[in-house]
Amino acid sequence: MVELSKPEFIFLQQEDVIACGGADMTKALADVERAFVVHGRKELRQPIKTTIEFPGDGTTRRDHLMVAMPVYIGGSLDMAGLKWASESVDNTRRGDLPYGIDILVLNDVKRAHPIAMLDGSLITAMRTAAAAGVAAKYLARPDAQVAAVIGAGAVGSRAVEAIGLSLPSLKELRIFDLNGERAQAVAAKYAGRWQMQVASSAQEVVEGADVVATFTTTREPFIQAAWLKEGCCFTGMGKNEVEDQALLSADRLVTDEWESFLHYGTPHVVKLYHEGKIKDTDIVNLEEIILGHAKGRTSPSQRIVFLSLGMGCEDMLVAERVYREAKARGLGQTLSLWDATDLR
Amino acid sequence: MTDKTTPSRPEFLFLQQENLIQCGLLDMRKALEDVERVFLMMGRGEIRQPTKTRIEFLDDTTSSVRLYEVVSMPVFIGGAYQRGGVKWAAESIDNAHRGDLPYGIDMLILHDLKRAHPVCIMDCTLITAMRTGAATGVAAKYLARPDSRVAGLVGAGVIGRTALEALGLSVPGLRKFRVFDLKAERVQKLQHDFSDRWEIEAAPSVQAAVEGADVVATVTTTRKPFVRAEWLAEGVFYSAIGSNEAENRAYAEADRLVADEWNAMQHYGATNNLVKMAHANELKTKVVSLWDVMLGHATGRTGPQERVQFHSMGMGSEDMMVAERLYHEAQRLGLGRKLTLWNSTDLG
Repeated sequence: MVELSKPEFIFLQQEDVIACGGADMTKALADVERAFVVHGRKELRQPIKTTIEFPGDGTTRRDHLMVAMPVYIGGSLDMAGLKWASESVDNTRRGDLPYGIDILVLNDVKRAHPIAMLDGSLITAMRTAAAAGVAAKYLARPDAQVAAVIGAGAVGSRAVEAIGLSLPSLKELRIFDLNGERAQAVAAKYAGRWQMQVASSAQEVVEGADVVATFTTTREPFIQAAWLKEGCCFTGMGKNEVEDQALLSADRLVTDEWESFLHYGTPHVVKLYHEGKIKDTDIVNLEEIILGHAKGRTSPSQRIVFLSLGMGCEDMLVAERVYREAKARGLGQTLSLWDATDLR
Repeated sequence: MTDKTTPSRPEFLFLQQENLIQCGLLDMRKALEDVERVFLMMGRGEIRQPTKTRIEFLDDTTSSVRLYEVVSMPVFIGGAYQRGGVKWAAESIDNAHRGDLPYGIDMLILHDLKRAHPVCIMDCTLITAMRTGAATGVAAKYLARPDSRVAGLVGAGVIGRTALEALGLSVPGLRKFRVFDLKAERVQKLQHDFSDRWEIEAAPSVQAAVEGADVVATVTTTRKPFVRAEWLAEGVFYSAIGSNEAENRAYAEADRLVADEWNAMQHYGATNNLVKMAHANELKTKVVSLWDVMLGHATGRTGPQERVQFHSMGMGSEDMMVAERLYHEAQRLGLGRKLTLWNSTDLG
């Protein structure tokens, strides 16, 4: 008679995630850079994410969204996981819950059961901000002095730190949000580390900035191409925040995962691609630049645009580090799918 | 000054398998109702069920044996439910070899679409077994001859067991099951548990179980065909729960071919003989989805002589509908462990 195992796993709520280094941006930057490397070396399996969105009537309106993002990371990790992400405009309107709420499940592939379940909401904000930092590290001018962050929400506020840490030459960090109080709060939070400037318009922060990064839920462009100075690195983490002209006139167009963009079809860059105004050869994935397979910035005057949809492997690598820390420290609640079962 | 909104906590209930059983998971009549409702709602377009996403790990040396798998199955059930969620399924051949954990282990998240957070997370391993058996029962209700007397069952594992009960409840004329399994003690267990309701006979071979039966179900993880076409009698209802269990000629000669979700099945055509044959025009009839038969949009059985087959891969919506019922029951009974994604957060 074989002794039965219990399919046990630990549950880490957001407080546990933070206690285990989930809010450490230096570590998140390393995780996300590694995610790009792992993706570039194809040491993972990351099927296209599946979305269910509402109303789903073919308009650009999107009130509610659920996304399943399964991923497997090979090598020494050998771990599968699912990010289950959701977004709701009702939450924003009511203000009592975040716009985006996510769960992460990590699985032992060989034993086919979960080993950890984590709040993924904070990790999502961290890895999205970190991706902007990694992009800035590889695509901004090495002597960048001024960075502009638009959107001071869960992601934008953390992106200030991600970009600040990624560009040692930075002198000034500007922030703008339609909600001025949020921008002020973020500026106050980082005032001891960088020279923070709160601006009263998007144009004011963007003009003259060496790095511009946007973290909004806006669906229509609000940044004019002419505002982006020569040599600017623009990082769009939302959708369609910059007008098409900026994409067409960019010296380099970089994405996190171009295959995913093509699959989704909604971002303007894909529309331009299908219209033949942007060619495959105009686009390169960031990982190719990180791995040295493609050129990034080749001159200080180039305008470079980075567009990101986000990847499950970024969440997984942050979550796996947090999970290991939790195991080491004995944090989290232990759960089991059953105590005893007659299923075999 | 802006209004300060009181933050909500994204609380959810965690239900382990024992809780689910307390909530009525083992009630096959209810599972049959759940699954029948799912098919009707699928047919009416009230469910959004994107194609499931699989990550498979094949044996490096043969590239045909699947060792491990994880599958993501997101679903939204509309109508009166408005319930989103995802089933996260996993399979491991190591578990089968070691025998200390089930071959397949699944979990499921029920989600509040409008507030964008989970309301219940549960074991889905036993739900999978119940709904898979139930789907065969629902198919039999619509596709088997009402005067069917004898059923042949191959595979007496967890799903063989649920299929037996589902068929027994769905085909009122059934009196006898002839059951074959490589492990005799599994058959004895079914005899012990169900002999008060049906005659359960241990068959000495697949052929002895299947040949001439009115209803046949095969529930194995076998990869090679083992059911001969001529064993499937005129008028049979044959439910293929595993893949490729009958020889190709059995598919070619079927008078009616019904799938749980034909579009989704075609998506995985690489390994499915039925799909390959459909694409090569080697079938006598086109394959239709069960709900189209149920709603009268496609032809099911039209006579007692017809050989009718049901092929299923399983749908996340079936799990979700069972899970939704159990979640409500758990709330009513005050069962499960309350968890929250956070007590307080600065995420806005």
